[in-house]
Amino acid sequence: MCGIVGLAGVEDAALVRCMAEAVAHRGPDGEGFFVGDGVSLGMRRLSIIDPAGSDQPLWSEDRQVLTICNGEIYNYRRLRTQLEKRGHSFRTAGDAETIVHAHEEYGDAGVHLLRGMFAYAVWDRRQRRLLLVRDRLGIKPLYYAQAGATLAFASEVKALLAVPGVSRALDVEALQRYLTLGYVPGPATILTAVRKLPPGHRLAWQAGRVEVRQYWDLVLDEGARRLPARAAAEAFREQLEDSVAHHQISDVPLGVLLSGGIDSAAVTALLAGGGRRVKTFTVGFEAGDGDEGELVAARTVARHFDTEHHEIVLGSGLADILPEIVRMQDEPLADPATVATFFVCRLAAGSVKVVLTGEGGDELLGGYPRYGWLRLGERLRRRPGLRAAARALLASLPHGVAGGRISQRLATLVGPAALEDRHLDWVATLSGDVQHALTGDGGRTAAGALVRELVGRSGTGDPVHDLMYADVKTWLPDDVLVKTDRMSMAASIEARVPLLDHRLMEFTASLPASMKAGTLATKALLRQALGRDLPAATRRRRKRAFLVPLRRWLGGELRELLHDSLTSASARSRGLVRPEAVARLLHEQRSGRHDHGRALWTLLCLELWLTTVGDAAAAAHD
Amino acid sequence: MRLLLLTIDFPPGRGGVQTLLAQLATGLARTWDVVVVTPAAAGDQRWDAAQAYAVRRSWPAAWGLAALVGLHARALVALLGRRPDVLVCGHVLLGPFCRLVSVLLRVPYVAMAYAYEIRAPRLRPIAGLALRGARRVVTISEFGRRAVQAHGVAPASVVVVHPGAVERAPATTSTREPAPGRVVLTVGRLVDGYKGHDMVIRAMPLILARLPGVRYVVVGDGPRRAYLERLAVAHGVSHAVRFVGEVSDDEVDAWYRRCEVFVLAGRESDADGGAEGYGIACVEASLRGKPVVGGRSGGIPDAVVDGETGMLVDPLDPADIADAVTRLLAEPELAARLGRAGRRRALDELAWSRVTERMSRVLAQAAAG
Repeated sequence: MCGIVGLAGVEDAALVRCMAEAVAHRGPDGEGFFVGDGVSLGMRRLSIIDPAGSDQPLWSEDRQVLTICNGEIYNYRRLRTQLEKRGHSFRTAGDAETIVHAHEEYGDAGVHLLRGMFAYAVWDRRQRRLLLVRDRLGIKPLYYAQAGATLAFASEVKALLAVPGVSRALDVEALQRYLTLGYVPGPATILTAVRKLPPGHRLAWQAGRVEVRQYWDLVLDEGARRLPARAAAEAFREQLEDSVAHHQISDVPLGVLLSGGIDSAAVTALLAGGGRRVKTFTVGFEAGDGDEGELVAARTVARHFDTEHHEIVLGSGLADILPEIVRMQDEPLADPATVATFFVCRLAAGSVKVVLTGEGGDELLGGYPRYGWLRLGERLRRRPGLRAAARALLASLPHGVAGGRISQRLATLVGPAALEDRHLDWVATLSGDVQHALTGDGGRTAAGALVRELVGRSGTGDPVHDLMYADVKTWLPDDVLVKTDRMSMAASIEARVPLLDHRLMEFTASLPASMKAGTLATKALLRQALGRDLPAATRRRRKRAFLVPLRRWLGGELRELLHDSLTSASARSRGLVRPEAVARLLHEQRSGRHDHGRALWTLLCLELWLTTVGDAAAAAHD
Repeated sequence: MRLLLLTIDFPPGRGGVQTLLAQLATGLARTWDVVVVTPAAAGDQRWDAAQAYAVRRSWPAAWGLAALVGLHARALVALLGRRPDVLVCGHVLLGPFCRLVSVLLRVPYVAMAYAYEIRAPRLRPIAGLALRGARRVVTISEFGRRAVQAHGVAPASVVVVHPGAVERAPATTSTREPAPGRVVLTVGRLVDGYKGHDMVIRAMPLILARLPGVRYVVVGDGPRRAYLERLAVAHGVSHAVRFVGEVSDDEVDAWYRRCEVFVLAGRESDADGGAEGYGIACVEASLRGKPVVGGRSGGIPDAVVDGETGMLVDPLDPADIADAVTRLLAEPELAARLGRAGRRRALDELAWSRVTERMSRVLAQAAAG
C-alpha cells in the first residue's frame, strides 16, 4: 500500500517531493521518484509484498515504460508466470512489476489482467504518454487536477493542494449534494478544480490532452436459467473461498477487523479454516447505550474461531481527535462509522500491517433492509386497493418520534414519490424539511437526478438490482471505501476487502436479486453459504447500522465543539447554510425535542473540514 | 432387426441432440428397421416424409406434461404393435418408462446420456433410475462416461460414441451482414452461462490490444443475449462484438466458412451440473477447416484435440483465451495446420458412417443380451 503523486507536463523535483510528503502517512517505509521526460512522478511506500525489493518506480526491461502503483495485485504470481512465458523478465519478487509488463504486452488493456485493488500511473517514454488507472470498484483512490496543459494527480487531495495553480474554490453544487448524502459523489470533489478518477476508468494524458474512459462496469442480471438456491450458495462459497485465499497473500502479518456482523465473521471463518490462528480487532463504546452489542457479538465470533482477539473501547478524547480524523478524510464525509474505523485501525496497527474487512457485503449481497422494503413497495404500488389503504393509513398517522419512523417506512412502500426519491428518503443524512430550511432544495434535486441517472444506466428492470447498482457507483466508492482507505492509511496499515473481488462481484451480480435481498431477510445467500460455519447468534443476527452513540456524543463530549464550530463567526459568515436554521437544529437537539444527530454531524464534519483544510477555500468563495 | 427410438428432441427442431439422433436414425435405417416416436412440431410432416424410416408423432412438446403423457402412450402403442428387438431411450426423463417396459415386455433398452441432464441435481434420482436399468449406456464424451459412472453404472456397459458433423454443399448465400475485419466465431444458443460467451467478451479487450481489427461474431439467440450485450458495453468492446441472432442453416454455414478462428470457451458448473457435453459446434468448425479454441472442460477435449485440431484453454481465464485466439490469428500456418487436421478428423474418425457403425454394434450387443 502506498501513496502516488505526479505531474505531467512539468519537471519539478521539489514540488513532487512536497506532494509526496503530503501522503507520507500512506507509505512510511520508503519513497521513490522519477523526474524527466517532462514529467515528475513520486511515491511513498508501505511494504507488504517483497519488502526488501520492489522499490518504485518499476521499470520495463528496456527502461522505456515505468510505473508507480498504490495497491495490491492479488493474482500476480499467476500473471508473472504467464508474462514470463511471453518473454518478460522480472527484476523484483513483488506484485506491482506485473503492471509494467502487462502494459508492454497489452497497453491500456493490461488492466483487464489484474485482480486486486489499485491506482497506478504508467509513463510510456516512447509515446510520451501518461496513463492513470483506478481499480474496478474504487477501492484505492485517485484524484487529479488540470492547470493549463499540466496534469497533477495524487492518491489524496492534500497532495494536490500543494500544487500552485490548483484553485481551492469550493464546488458549491458538490457541497449541496454532500449535505443530502453525507459524502461528495464522484467524479466531482468538494473543490471545483479537483476530480476523482471514477472506479473502473482510466485517464490518458498526451501532449496536454486528457481523455477519460471507462474500461469496466458491473452488469447485474437475473440469470437466464434459475440456479437452485442451494447450488448458488455452494458456488458462491467456492468463489468467496478463492477470493479470501488471494487476499491472504502477504509477506507481513495480517488480521481481521471484526464488527460482529456476518460479513467480517464470514471472512474470519474462511481465514480460520486455513489453519493459522487469526488476529481479530473490534471497536466498541462505553456501556450505557446498548452498544455493547457490537462488542459482545464480535466476542462470540472470536471465541467460536479461537482468534487472538483485541478490543478497544472508546472513552473520552474524541473532541481532540475529531479534527484530525476530518483532515485525514480529505473531503467532507459525514459517516460516523469513520470514527470507529479510525480507532480500530489504530488498534490493529499495534500488531499487524494488513487487515481484511467485511466491507462491500452490504452492497454486493443485499445487506440493506431498504432493498427488500423498496421491492415490496414496488409490488404493493401495482395493487391499487392495497396502495390506497396504505396511503389512507399513512395520512392518519400522528406525527411523533415513533410515528415518524413508521410513516417513513410506509411512505417508502406506497408513497407517490418516484423510486429514486423514496431511496433518497431512506439514505439522506438530512430530511427534506431540514435541508430545505438550511439551503433550499438544490442538493436533493441534484442527488435525485444522480440516482435516477444511475438507475437508468443499470437498466435491469429490477428495482433492487438498479438500486444496488446506484449504491455500487456512489455510496460504496465515495463513502464506504473512502472511510476504509483513509482511516487505515492514517494508521499506516493496509485494509483489504475480499468481498469486493471483481470476480466474486461478477458472479454474484449474475444471480437473481431475490437470492440476495429477500423482503424481510437480508443476505440470504451469504447465510446459506456460510451458515453452518458461523455461530448461531451471528447467523441469525439482523442487519443493524453501525451504531455510534451520536446523540450522546453531541450532547456530551462533543457538545462544546459542536456549538462553537457551528455558531462561530467564520461559520456564520460563509453563507453556505442559513445560520438561523442551524441555530434551530442546535436548540431542538439540546432541548431533546428532536434528534437531529445525523444532520448536526453532517454540518459539524463540514465545518471542521472547512476550518482544518479548506480555510483558504472558504475565503476564495467569499 | 427392429429398433424403436423414443425421443423428446428431434428435427425439425434444431440442436446438437436433434442432429445426432436424426443422423443415427438415417444411418441405422440401412441395416435396421427403424421407427422413431417423438412429439409433433411445426413443419414435421414435410421433414418426416423425406426420411428413410418411419416417424410416429405424438402431441406437441409445447403441451408440457400432457405432451409427456401423450409421448408415452404413443410409444406404448408402437411397442405393443411391433415388439422391437431394442429400444433407444433418447432422454433420461423417458427412462422410468423404458425401464418399466423392459421388465414387462422384455425389450432391452439403450440409454442416451449427454451431460446436463444426468448431472443436474434436480434430475439425479430419475437419471440414476434410467441409466442403471439400461442394457448399455451410450454417451458422447469421456466426460459423459465419468458422469454416467458416477450414477453407479458398471464401466463395461458404458460406451462413448463421438458425434460427427454434417458435410453440406457450400451455401449459396453469404453471411448476410458483411462484418468488416477478422472474424472470431461462436455458434450456440444463448441460454446457459456455461458456454462461455461472457469470457470471450472479457478477453476481447486483450485481443483488440494486439489486433484491433478483430470482430467477435455470436451466432445464436436466447434469453442471455441482453446480458451479454450489456457485458460488451461494460468492457468497452461493443463495437467489436456482433450479435447475429438465430439464422438459417445456410447462414450458419456461411459464418463457419467466414471465420478465422472458432471459439467455444465452455466451463463446468458444479453447482447446477451445467457443462458442454461434447461441443458439436467445434467439430462443425473443424469440418470447415477452421482452428478451434476450446475451454478445457466437460466434453470439449473430445471434440478438440489439443495442439492438433485446436487449442484448449482455461475457460475461466480471459488472458488464456485471448492468447490462444491471438496466436491463431497471428500465425496463419499454425491456424491452417490445425484446421486441416480438424477437417481430416471430421471426415475420417468422425464420419457419420463410422459413428453409425459404432452405434449399430452397441445396439446389436444390447439386443443379444
